[in-house]
Amino acid sequence: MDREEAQKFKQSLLEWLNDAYNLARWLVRDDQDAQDAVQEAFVRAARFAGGFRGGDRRAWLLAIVRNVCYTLLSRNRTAADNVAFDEELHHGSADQAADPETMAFNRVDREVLIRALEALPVEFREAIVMREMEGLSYQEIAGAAGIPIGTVMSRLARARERLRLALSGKAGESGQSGRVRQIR
Amino acid sequence: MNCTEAKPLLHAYLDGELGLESALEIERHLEQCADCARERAALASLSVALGDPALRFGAPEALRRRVGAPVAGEAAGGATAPGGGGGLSQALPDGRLRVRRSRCSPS
Repeated sequence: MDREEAQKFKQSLLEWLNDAYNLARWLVRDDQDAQDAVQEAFVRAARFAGGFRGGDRRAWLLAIVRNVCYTLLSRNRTAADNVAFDEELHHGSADQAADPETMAFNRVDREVLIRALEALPVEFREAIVMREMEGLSYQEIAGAAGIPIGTVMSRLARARERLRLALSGKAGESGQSGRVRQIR
Repeated sequence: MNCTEAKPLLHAYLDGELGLESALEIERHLEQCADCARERAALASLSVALGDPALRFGAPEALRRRVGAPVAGEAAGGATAPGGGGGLSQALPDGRLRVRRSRCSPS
């Protein structure tokens, strides 16, 4: 990649600044931290532009954003709410919420959904944000998070169950069944 | 395909990640199974709710300036903020990054 190409590459990344910030903001849950993470990600992306090996540039950028966010989270020690901690204890089933009332998500309280998203363990939250908001494929999420596709699938399934539970208003009373039936 | 096989695949089906053959099998099952059809509808509604643009955070103007992205109004000759308008590799203009703030514990 020559100098001019590199410059064009950097400029093209700016096209996804909103996506980068959205992902960072959901991951670190703080505006200033998210801004810091995105700036750092763009610096890294520019530095490693020559190492880009094809594929989707947006997914590549978001993977860098994700990694910077994780570094920041571990530094801030806010990643204590990780999957290993609560997978067993808090695994509920959305089956219990499958009545017509709870399925009317178009009437859902947006605030409840936002709170439920923020309360997800960061590994679940990233899967949801990358998939549902940023439209990344399972393969791209797996690549960004450094996990097998099967784990992407199980995290998405569990994250969605939790969100449905929260939206049904039953999260508090039915989240302790401990039933594990999802594939890894 | 029965419910036990179908339910875990519903996510991949709705995410467009299933191969054609499995997708067709799921669809055949959904036609016959009200339970799974309800599950599918619930997941689809959740997807719609999560896709609400109101849930997205847009990049603040301060960040646009920090990374050198065009800021609204600048093309029309708007003033550039002090320290703004740098390139991608620009070091932090205001030194804010290195100052760690104390944080509230996560809820």
